[in-house]
Amino acid sequence: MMIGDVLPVILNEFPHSEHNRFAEIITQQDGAPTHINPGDHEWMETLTEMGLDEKIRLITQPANSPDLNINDLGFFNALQSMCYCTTPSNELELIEMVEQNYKDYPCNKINQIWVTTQTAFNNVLDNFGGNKYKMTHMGKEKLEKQGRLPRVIEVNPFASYFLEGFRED
Amino acid sequence: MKHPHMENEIHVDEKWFFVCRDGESHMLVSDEIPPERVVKHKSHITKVMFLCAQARPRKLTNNTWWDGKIGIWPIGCYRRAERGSVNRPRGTLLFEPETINMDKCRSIR
Repeated sequence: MMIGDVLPVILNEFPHSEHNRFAEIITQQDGAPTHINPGDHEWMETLTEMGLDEKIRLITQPANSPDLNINDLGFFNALQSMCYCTTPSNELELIEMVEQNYKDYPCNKINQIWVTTQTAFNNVLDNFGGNKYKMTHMGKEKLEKQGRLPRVIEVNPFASYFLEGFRED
Repeated sequence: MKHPHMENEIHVDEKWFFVCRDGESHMLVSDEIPPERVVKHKSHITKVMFLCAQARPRKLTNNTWWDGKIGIWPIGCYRRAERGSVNRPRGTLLFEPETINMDKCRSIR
């Protein structure tokens, strides 16, 4: 899947004007044992052949932190509940429905999930790296209506005090 | 101090999608036909695993919005029905859902 499907589509779908904006494109996956290691031999070989070994990097997200992956944080639940509204009867119809719902899923909602990830970052920092926290609500829908939804949000002052200490070291 | 903009990140994950839930209830108007449940037992609900990759939506240089959708792929294989039955003729296209393992995760199709 990763080499045959995901990699060529990333190169194809990721806007060409965006390719050179970043030093590298980070592909993040969870730590499931079925996932390939970041330094997987075949994966690295394919990347080197295409001359992209500096450009695309595979990383594993922190353990037991599904909130740091936008798919787990909100996107999948949204897609699944959209599928429950339809009544597919077999696997083929289910695939068709999921792909249709995926295509129809609004762009601004996806952006909101990405903003939520950043509040999850803040919560994790406040929790000293733990995952037992309650999600902070920030009223993104309302902020977006007023055109005030931030692209990036501030790091908690308490955490940023420590992080800046690290930076100086 | 601000968080990174995360525009160079792509999140990849798998999920099982189900055809229906166990214990669903519906409200009907008097002459409405109740929806039919296609699965015969709650422990055999049809499901398919999908692999999904997502990037952050953003405004491109030519002022259009890119929705950040990389793709969603069903995991399994398509095949033709070997035998016919009262419900479907021989040779109907079927999809066989599969679980994922490391070789499949890496594979080149």
